Amino acid sequence: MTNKAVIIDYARSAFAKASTPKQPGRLSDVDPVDLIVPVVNALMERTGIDPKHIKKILLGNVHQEAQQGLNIARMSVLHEDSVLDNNVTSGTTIDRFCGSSLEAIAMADGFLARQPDDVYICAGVQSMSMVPMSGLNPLINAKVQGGNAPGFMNMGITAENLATAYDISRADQDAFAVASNQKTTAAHAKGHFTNEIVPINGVDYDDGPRADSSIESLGKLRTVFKDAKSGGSVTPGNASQITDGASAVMVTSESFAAANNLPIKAVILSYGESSLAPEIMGLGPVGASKEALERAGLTMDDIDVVELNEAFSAQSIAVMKELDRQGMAIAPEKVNLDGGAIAMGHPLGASGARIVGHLAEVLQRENKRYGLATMCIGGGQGVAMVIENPAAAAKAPTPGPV
Amino acid sequence: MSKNIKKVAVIGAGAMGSGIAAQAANAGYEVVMLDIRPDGAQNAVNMMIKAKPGPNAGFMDAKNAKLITCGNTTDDMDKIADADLIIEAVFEDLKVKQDTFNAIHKHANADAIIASNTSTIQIGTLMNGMADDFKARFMNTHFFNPPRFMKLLELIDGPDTSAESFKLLQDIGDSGFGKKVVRSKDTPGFIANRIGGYAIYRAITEGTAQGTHIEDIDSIMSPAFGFTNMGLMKLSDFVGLDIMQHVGTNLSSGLGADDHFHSIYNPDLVNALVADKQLGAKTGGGFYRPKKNDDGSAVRDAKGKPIKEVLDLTTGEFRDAAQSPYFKKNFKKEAGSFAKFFDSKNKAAAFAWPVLRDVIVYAMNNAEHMAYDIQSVDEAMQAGYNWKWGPFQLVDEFGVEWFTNRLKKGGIAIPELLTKANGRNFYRENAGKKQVLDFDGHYQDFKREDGVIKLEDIKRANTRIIGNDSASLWDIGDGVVAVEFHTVKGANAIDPAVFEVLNDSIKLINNSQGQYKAMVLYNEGTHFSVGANLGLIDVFSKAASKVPFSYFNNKANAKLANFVEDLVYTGQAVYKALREAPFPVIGAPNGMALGGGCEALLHCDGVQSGPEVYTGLVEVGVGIIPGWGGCARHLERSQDAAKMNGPMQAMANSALAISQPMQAMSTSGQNAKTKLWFSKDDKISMNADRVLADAKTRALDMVNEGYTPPSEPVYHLPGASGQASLNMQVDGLYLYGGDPKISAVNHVDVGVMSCLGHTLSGGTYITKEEIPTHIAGNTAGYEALSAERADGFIAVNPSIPLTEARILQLERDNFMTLFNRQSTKDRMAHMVAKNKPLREDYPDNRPTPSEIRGEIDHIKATLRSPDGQPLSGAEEKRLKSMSKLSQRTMWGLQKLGLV
Repeated sequence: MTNKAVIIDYARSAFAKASTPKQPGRLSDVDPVDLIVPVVNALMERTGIDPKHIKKILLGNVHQEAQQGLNIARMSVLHEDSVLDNNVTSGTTIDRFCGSSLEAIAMADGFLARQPDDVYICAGVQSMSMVPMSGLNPLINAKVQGGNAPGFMNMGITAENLATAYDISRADQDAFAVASNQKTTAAHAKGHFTNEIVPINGVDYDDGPRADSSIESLGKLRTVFKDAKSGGSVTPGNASQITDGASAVMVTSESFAAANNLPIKAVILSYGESSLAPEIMGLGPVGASKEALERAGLTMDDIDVVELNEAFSAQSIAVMKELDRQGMAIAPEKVNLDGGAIAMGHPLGASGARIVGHLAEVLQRENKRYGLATMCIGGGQGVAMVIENPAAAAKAPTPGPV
Repeated sequence: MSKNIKKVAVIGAGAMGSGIAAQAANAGYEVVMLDIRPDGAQNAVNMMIKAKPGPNAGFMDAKNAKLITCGNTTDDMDKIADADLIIEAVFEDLKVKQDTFNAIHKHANADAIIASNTSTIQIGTLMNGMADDFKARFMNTHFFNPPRFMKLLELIDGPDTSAESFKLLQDIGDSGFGKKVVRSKDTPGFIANRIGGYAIYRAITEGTAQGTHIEDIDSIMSPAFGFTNMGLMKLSDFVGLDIMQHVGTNLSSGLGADDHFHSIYNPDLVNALVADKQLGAKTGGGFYRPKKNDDGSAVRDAKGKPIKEVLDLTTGEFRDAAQSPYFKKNFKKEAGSFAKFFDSKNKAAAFAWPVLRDVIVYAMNNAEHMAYDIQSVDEAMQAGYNWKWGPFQLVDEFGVEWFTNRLKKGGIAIPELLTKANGRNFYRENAGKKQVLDFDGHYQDFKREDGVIKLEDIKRANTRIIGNDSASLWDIGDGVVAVEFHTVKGANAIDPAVFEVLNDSIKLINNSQGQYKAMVLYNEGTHFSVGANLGLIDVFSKAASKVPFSYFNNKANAKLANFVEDLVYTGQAVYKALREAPFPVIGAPNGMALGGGCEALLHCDGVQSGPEVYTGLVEVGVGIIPGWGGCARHLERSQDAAKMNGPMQAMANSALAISQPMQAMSTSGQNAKTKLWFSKDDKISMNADRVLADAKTRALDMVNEGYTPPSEPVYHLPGASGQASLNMQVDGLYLYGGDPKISAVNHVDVGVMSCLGHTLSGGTYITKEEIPTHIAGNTAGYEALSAERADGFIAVNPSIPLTEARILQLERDNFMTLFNRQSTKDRMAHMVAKNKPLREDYPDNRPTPSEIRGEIDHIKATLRSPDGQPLSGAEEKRLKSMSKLSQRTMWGLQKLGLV
């Protein structure tokens, strides 16, 4: 048996819009640790795995202060409701901005290469109601290169930069957003999320998707980061939503899964990363995907389904344009089948595990073989992961990657 | 004031010089202090910064030290060039002083005022050979040690001192340095040390003659006759026997040969002690000293208390000190009058009579020699020696006619002033005015400094507007009223009757159609208010616990709880109404403003503080939390101060201030601003006597600027995770903090802190019923959210805008929760009985923090929200009935002699 890492199961909370001054969020009063514990517990219950095997919880979380401070990964084990064993399961909280919980899965992949008998919970959580974007005390090292600091801090401006560079119109961005909303609404209607959502405080639905959004209605929104008269085009309608939520993926080795009769949802084939100028951080998925595909021995044509985290419409479109320019075009119909962060929200720490976990679900549902999950990361970074549906692989006429 | 004083120079950094420099810095002057030793001035500043609160803490707030520039007299005399006032406090040697004056003359500004702080050399001698322009600007200042705390400043002008210079320094001494300025004549010892020194040496002589124990002298020459609690001898130890020796030598060498002082002056005892380096408290021993073993360790009694020794006036040896039979005796009350006491065969009277007789006679015979009027003599003794009565006031207490006759009977020559008094008291009230005899035997109006307003004077000339046994409303002129609390012998404890007067006063002003437009909260006397009247609650509580049969006992306890809950609510509502009233309210405290007294000030629109104000929320000491809006107000201040520092900072600020009252209590009015008890716009009057007048001026300024009441704050608080975070700190102190008697928290505190945390964090959940009043702004979203939840609960977190009503409700919930604990009742009873907080030992089986918290029976007080209006209707009726009950109870306790 090989030491390949595999995904056993995936669960998440509903993604609920964070509080605004006018409207409290549906999960806004749930402490982030209280948010992740029931998701992990549900995963444990569904898989029926003995807590003694859970080596560690790797928990993605951005802005680790206040309720998110003091290593909440370990706190989620010590929590009185947790089914995990205090004396077995350790906890590491990971801040890789938007890529945090995808990175958590990659880390588990690395650990499993040496310790195939372990099980990892790779999770993410974010209360954007309790700890706002940029944190409560946004302080930045003074020696971060001058030109990069603004790009480092303001994600909206990076999206405006891409809109300008790739000549992406406001209408194109809004159209992308409308599509995302429609896909997510439809997926909800079809029950595509029912399996993954663990109800918390009775909240069992994503409240972000706007079924009635249209290019016309989105067109009325004002730009936030750059004045429309100066060419600004990014609005709350074509950007990811500010959201509270948690997600978790259970990862172990192929050998452990087999030995314990655990059905495998997906096999992790590769992981890729990129680094680039902070001001155009949105292009991070391009280099990361390229690296992940190369490492998996695949090309973009081999990929059946893509989960591209929708930080912004402009950013997502720019990524596709740039992939196309580099000869790695993706067919739009393969991308984000059930919509994305523009519709359901982007609770920073939780998004990575959601797109990988949901990608595994989609591959199973659609009976497809290869999936690519990728996201851009603030500060000029990108991550990508290629996974494979073993059921589809078994039926595949051609042999898998080397 | 004719000239604006900005900079003060002090030459000499000894005890007096550095203390004067510190007080000048406290007053806000720029200060330069020069000493003969290169680092003398800086060392003195450093020592004062490091000093613990007490006599050596020259600075009212450590930051005042930054106003002092230090230097030495060799290199830095040019630093005095722009000083407006220069005070010399160098070694008491004519040559040294004259050299200093010459140096000052050379470097100082030509119109600078010059003063010497000498207490021994006369002005004529000092100025011998000095230029005329220097003489015109020169006078003596006689500060008392420590200059920050001692109220008296004797000011002595010479024959050449210009009236303008004198007036200027008089004003600076009064408003700037905050002193009671008494103009004295240029005679040895001036006024205070002349009479004070005479009194001490007279007591020693009489004690030696009669073989009186020093403990007895201290118990006789005590508050019974208006002296301090320490008594005369212990006070000498405190002041320093070297100082007493110096006062004696100075009087002995300076006074004329026929002065009566010589006949009672025997310095042998003091000289011997000083020669033996027994200088009093500062060397660890004087008339009293700790008993020591051969190895230098303290000898302790069976209870572990160190044993004190005292000098025996008969043998001249030290022996174990004993409790005097006269300790805390009220001779006047026991005998019926002072006259009856002195006429009795009591041994204390046999000692007291000759001493007091001679002090009074001496003061009478020499009054005109040392002072410009009788009032000055008495005021000097009150301000300089902390006597309640100066000699003329004391003889008024005895009865002038009786005293005259008693002198005659004893064959004592009748002083001329006594003959002129002709049986009349020296002070009288006439047509609403206080008057005092002049040296010719005519009554003159009692003098007040320009601009000073005393409630005492207002009360003499007016009747109160409204009031009851606990508080009164006075018209202090120009449309400003003052509310005065007057409960429990100057402690000014707050009870329902106080709230009744406050409530009625707000209504009265609101309905006065502009006649009244501002209010001042002011209590004349030592203290503003020590807080809620715990004695009253303790009496009710004990009475309830004594009710037999569980059914009736439960009823009695329920009634008590009801009373307390209503009292907490009433206090919140009345204070809130005070804050939101359409007229400005200025708090004008002196001395202690603790607990409920501090809460009163926290609700004022502004505070005009006296110099020495000790304020803080001290409730945890008796097992409760602030319940009259103290948490809400302090949280508001903390939140404003914390600004961007996240959801925990405001709660942490307030938790620290309320949970560690001893550390958080202010050590001065200025320090109260630093510690957030007062706001940054609040002001300090350096002279306690000017607080009322300054407060009135500020109130009128606010009216003239167009007053609008403050708006209600909105709170953003951390909820359950904030509580957990505070509990984590508390548990650490409980489990690993050591001895609960010293610093750590004990099992009782864990419960108190948990309730404090619950309040300051904004609570854990908001229920459906609470949403409309506890969440600010548009609550529709929260209503919807709550409706979605099976239990309807919304967890408190920083994103929820909480109202003041929320915090007040939490105060009541947690106050009642804590009040319900037996430990709280024990703490209250202990405080009432012993006047200090009870610190429980750890129990044998220490419960875990979670056990302690688990056992707390959380009480939910009635859900209600004060609306910022004075109480009316049923709530007002309830207030009136509580007021009546408390007044009746206090009256009864007073009759029984229990308070």
